[in-house]
Amino acid sequence: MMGKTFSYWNSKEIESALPLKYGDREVAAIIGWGGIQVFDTRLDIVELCYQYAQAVQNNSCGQCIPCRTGMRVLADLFAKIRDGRGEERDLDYIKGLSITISKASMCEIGQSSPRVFLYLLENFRDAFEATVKGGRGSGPEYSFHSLLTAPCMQACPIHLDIPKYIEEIKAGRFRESLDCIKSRLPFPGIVGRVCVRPCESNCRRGLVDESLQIRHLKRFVADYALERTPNTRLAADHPEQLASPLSLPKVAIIGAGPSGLTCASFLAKKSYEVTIFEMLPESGGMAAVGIPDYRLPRYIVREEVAEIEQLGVKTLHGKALGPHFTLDDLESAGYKAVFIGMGCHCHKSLDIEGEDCGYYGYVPGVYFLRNINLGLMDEVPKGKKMVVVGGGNVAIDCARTAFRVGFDESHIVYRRSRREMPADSVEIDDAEAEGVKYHFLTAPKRIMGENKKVTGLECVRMELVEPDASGRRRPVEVPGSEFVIEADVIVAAIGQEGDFNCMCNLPGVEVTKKGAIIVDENLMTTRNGVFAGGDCVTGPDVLIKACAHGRLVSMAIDKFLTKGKTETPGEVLDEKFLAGLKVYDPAESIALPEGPGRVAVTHEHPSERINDFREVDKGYTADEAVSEASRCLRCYRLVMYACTDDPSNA
Amino acid sequence: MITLSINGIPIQASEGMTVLEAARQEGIEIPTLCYLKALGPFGVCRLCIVEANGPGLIPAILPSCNLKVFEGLVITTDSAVIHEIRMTMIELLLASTPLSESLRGLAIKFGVEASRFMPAKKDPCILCGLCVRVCRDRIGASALSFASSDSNRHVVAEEIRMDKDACLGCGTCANICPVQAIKLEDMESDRKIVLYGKVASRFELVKCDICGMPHMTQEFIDSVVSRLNKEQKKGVRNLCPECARHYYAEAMTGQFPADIRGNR
Repeated sequence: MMGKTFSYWNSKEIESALPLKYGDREVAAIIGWGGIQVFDTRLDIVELCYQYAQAVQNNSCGQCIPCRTGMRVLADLFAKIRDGRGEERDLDYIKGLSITISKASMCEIGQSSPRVFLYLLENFRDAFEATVKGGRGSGPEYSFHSLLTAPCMQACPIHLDIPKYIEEIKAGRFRESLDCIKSRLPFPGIVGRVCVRPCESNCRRGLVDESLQIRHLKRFVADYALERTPNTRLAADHPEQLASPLSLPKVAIIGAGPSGLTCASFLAKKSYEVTIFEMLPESGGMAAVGIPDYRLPRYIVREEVAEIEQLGVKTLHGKALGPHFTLDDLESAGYKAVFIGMGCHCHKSLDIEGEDCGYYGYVPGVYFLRNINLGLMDEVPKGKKMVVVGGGNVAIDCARTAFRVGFDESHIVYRRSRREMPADSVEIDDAEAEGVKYHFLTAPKRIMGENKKVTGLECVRMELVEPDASGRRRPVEVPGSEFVIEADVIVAAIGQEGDFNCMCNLPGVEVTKKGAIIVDENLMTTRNGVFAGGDCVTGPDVLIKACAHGRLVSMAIDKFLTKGKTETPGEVLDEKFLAGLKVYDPAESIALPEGPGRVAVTHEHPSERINDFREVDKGYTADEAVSEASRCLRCYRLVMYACTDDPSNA
Repeated sequence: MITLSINGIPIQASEGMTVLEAARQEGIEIPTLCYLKALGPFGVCRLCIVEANGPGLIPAILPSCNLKVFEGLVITTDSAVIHEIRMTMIELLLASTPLSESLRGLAIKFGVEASRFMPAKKDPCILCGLCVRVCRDRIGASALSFASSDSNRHVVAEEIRMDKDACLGCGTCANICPVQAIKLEDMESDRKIVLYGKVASRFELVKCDICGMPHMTQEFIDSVVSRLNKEQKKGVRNLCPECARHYYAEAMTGQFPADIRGNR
């Protein structure tokens, strides 16, 4: 018995902490890497420690002696005390072992987990001694649940088990590493190239020297498998992935983009008969038509799409919701569930003079990229000098693509400074290396044209004042600073909007004012059996989030078709619960000396690569991947929560 | 050269060296189980931990086998804390793994008489990984690996497993194992590699061309020969270590035998 409620978490003691909830359930206590929080004073602390030590031991990788054996002995000691067989000296053993494990273990699970025991022995020794002397008091029964996470895993929208697949690379088991990724994500090659990698900005190695290049490691295992067994990756050694006869109900997926394909792949593995309706002649969505080949070669997209089709997924190209079919059509054709996974292919207009004049040479960025990616070169405006307006990845993609389709000069006009640019910093640097000229603190004012052709962009200088709602400093015009950049082609790349025209008439599917589809927490729309995810729900967002949505929808559809209703998957509740516990603390200081830093990836030389669409990054060799993987600190973190089994509490 | 201090003594070490190497060069003893110079650091036995302090470093306990030396580094190898932790680890080893000579020696050296602990579950060996690494990194066979029962996906190392199809029967794992968990049992031409008391792979030994003694498996010979170039392959002879010494000694002294006796 603890005698009081308290919270000690991430080295902070909070007198009256608010009780935590897991989903709807009241939590009696949590214990974990960050400390302990007790909300139900009847809970037996020795039992809690035992359950936690047992869970840590189950999750110990077993490689180093202190954690592997030490946690086992600790769990045994707690069990002994709990069962009334404890001796006074056992508490000293616990202390000594906790010091040994936390100081000498190889990775974070051993280092972080037993620290709470030291805190408890220091502050609540009486409670332990009471159990040693008097055995266990009576009280309600509790159930204990442990959650394993890591800063990188928690930050990853699809929660890949990053420390695990890195560990496999370190041990040279590249196939196992790939399997680990693919158990949650069907696109290691695509995501391994273009992910915005929230994992890397939550990597604890970054607090020591530089974060791991997790994305490149993922790409490496994908490429390694592809080089060895192109096209036949599924055939021999993965019989369980081959689709068994598709016997379960028919599911329709609208849009062969990252979310739709991810959803299709998981449903097909569960034997659902999946048909994808895609308006474009090519599968892959934005991965295929929104990202230039020098960043993401098309054969990678095609390989990974083909792999999903090998599971038995059918794709009908040239079929758009609205012009070609309706939701009612799908229903009458016998589809029992529908997933709308449409992307945002529309652009935001610049809202400046000259935009509506129909000048040849003025084009939105997403169309520019899409036409090039689809090989529709006649649709791409020609010229020598291109000016791109915008600061995101699409803007950079357009500016870099310009050289590759024959432009001599490429400029980017962005109204804030380099620091505020939302584009990936690697992309910003790579573009500069290729000769893209940046005009920071510059905003477009007017598109100038003659004879129905673009001739230039009138711009105005900006300066940054106090931060706005986005937290970035707000740019304001400097009066009288107007100037003109001559241009043959002007590309607008200041953001996308969903193509929601057809949505307005989707009977039963409600949308927000902006046109995004409204979904519940299981991603079902207001129409029963119709789900939605990806950009058409979130607005333009990153690829990995769309994949995460696709995966969640596959689980929701499975529940819906087997049980007739959806229910929130445990992992969604886990994620929410963990989010409140601050898995990554950027202020943490880690007692490790700086290492040699990240293993650099080789690139094609800028002067060579701008002539064609060859891939810029060459990726890791096996040796490079292993040494990069060896930098991982393996920051697994375990937390356990206890709930009473009292049904009124459930 | 880099100057660091170990136990209060200033020490010179060259760039790129580890603290363990620098200490051993000076005759300062740091115990290890999983370290071998030829295989490099692995960092799992944790016996080589030291206290580290220095410019830009938060004082910490770190393994010395993979800690690179840098200017101004201050190392303590034998503080009370280190000793306490090391003793606890030796006790854990004694209590959880089969007793062996090397462990007994370690226990005696650090004054551990008996372990206070009695874990219910024991390990089949100390899981130091020397066998796995030598087989993969030096022999190139990768026949041994860490393995775990599939029930828990995060366990990496529960036992060592042998892929007998990949094994070449060279016996390096048995030679390198510090606790004799892997043994080599040769009977005439019959070689058994015994892992945790069970026959893990079995081979027929090839006889020496001179003396007729069974000495090595054909699989291992083939593997070595496959890595030689054309010129080197010409020099390959099927000899036991003893006869090889005689043979090449004769070659060097100019009395090159016209033919190998066994080949006639």
